[in-house]
Amino acid sequence: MSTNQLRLPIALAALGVLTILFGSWDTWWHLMRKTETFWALPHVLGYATVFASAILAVGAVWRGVKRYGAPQDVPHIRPLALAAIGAALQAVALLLDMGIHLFNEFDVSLWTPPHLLLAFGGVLAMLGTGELFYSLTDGQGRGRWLYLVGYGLSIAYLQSALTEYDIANWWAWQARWKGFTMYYAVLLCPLLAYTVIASTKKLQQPTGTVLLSVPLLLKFVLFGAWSLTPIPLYVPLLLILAGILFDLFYQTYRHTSKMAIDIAILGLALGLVAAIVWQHPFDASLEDVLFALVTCVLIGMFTAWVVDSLDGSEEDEGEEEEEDWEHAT
Amino acid sequence: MRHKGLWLLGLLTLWTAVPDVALADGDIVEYVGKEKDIHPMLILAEFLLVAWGGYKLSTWFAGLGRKK
Repeated sequence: MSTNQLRLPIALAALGVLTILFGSWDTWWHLMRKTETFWALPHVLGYATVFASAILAVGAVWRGVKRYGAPQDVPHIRPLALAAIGAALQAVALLLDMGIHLFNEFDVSLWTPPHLLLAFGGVLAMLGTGELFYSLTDGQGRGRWLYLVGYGLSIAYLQSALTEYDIANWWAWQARWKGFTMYYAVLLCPLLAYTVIASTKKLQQPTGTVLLSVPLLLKFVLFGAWSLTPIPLYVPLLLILAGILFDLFYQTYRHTSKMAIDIAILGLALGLVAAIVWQHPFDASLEDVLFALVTCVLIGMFTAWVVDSLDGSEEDEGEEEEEDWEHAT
Repeated sequence: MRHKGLWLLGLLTLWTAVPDVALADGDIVEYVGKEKDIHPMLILAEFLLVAWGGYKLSTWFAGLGRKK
């Protein structure tokens, strides 16, 4: 598989990284109390990358359908469609956000519907991008790593939607997270569990540490950049702890227990909750910690079932996709 | 089942178009200290809906044109 054939997912992943970076810049822009409009530089740059992603992904689907006649005949259509739907949702968020600015002028919250749609669309786009890497390379060679990078970027996107966690002081914490400390684990858990379990099953090796090092690396870059300004970030959330414990538990039990994934899910939940208890500025009661732990384990178990169901439906289709991807896109 | 999914997606789109329903205040200086805020579980619900809808929609689209 040549780099040419991977250029679409590489472009989508690069645009995803840029959107996260510009989004962080926009958050910083708010905190510096600079002029705030839809057309503020970081805001408009962020949406420009979103717009470019949507054009690329939807354009690739459109060209594929035009060439092959029907979506089912387009090579790698399933992950490509997922990336395109995510990017298209982000484009819809762009229009809605423009409306919010038009009527409201001030960008009141990171948790407005358009901002959430932007982040969640980005999660889908990066999941699709990761799966496109896997599909194009059959999960071989560098395709394995690129697949994990795509999945890792989806986690970085979700973290961006919850970015208040990282802000040092006088911002969202009081109103948003006080009393809800451990919900942070619950919000992150479904995506964490899905990406780690699905990739571990697909690659037949524990992937948690590598996968979660992607958002960690990105967060450290942001941490370094913010640290040079008057508004610092706290040390990035060490979510990687969840990945390390998942891998440790899975590796220990994979050859001896049929419940290796379930045990590893317990490790993931323990790591996630421990990272938040350790780093979150608000205290959490024992009840809250137990609530988060039990909820994360249950979400993880449910997610493992979902991953099994998705694997089953993909095997049923049993399609061979040997067409020339380069011509298709 | 597919129709139910599309209905849910439609409702979600409507919901995201109505800021008053889900508007979170509290994350700018002027709002610090206000009690009113969106509950995190609502964020989780929207995330799960978008993720589920996106996967369903992509699977449906990828099967278009398939002979039964």
